[in-house]
Amino acid sequence: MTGLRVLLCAALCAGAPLAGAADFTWSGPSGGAALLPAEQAFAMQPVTWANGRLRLDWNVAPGYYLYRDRIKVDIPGDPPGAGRLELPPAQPHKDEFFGETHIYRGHLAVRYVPPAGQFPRTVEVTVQGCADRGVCYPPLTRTVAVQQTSSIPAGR
Amino acid sequence: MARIVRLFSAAIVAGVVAGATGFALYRYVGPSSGSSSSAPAASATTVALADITFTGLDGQTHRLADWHGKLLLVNFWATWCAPCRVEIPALVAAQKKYGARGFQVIGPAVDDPAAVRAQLGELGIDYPVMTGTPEEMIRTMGALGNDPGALPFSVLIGADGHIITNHLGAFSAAQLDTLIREHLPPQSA
Repeated sequence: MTGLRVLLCAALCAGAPLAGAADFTWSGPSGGAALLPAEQAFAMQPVTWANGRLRLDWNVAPGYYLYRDRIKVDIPGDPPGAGRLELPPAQPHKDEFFGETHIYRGHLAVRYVPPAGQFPRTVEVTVQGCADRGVCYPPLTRTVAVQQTSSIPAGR
Repeated sequence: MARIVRLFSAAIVAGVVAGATGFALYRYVGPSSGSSSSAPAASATTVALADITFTGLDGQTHRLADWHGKLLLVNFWATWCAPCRVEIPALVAAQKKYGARGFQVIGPAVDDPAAVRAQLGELGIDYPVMTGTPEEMIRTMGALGNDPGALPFSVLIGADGHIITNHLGAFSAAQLDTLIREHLPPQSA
């Protein structure tokens, strides 16, 4: 069986010189683990509807952050920016180029009151953020279904 | 024994296919007009460098093959990306310093053309800039090895059309200078 393993290894390694012929190397930003895809770095939770407003939650991975001023929520069919977005206090952040900005880390919960005040079946959400390792992600826009719940628990 | 031989044969095929796919993905396929090119063709599921196109601010389509023969730095950036903007002065300086020696920067922006056009002067960019939607650019960057789709992202392509290296995050001026000097094409007499 050991002989078989050696044969398999030798066979699989046969393709390696071809792959390496392009002189392709990777040099990512410094530090540890691989960079997360945006969907994992800024993991969005199910969007819920209760008491005439939407609740949207994200779990922002450690080492990543979302810009407060780049969160957009719209209901498809409504004029952009027509509803009321309720954001929690954000952390001040000194950006190396944009100066003083505000960001969110960890868990983020925002609320959105649609202009018509009626239950929307879907919602279009855009966020944009960066990693502390010195890279930023393009705006991430998703259209997600809204789940109807009886009420938003107190303190949420 | 026959089973071992079958397994061995299958593993050889898998290894060669994997290697050839990687090679086809990153090997520069020369201009399509070149009928004598011996470069392997990219399969339907891979992207050859020469097939990558961008739309310039002038509305014209640009192919990476347009810069064949130069040491080409493809720098993906955006106006909304702070580390990208921090890096730009080093890119502008490198273009100025090494442009006459066969070095070229191009800047595909994951951005709106109007936003880019409005900020070119402020940023001092004097090399070719293109734009594309996040979806298009993320797909292109993914083909070039940037799976997370983050910015800034640079790919250095040699004068022979091979990818020399890629880099996620901003280059420092010193890093960039060293890299360019290592890979500048030989100067003609």
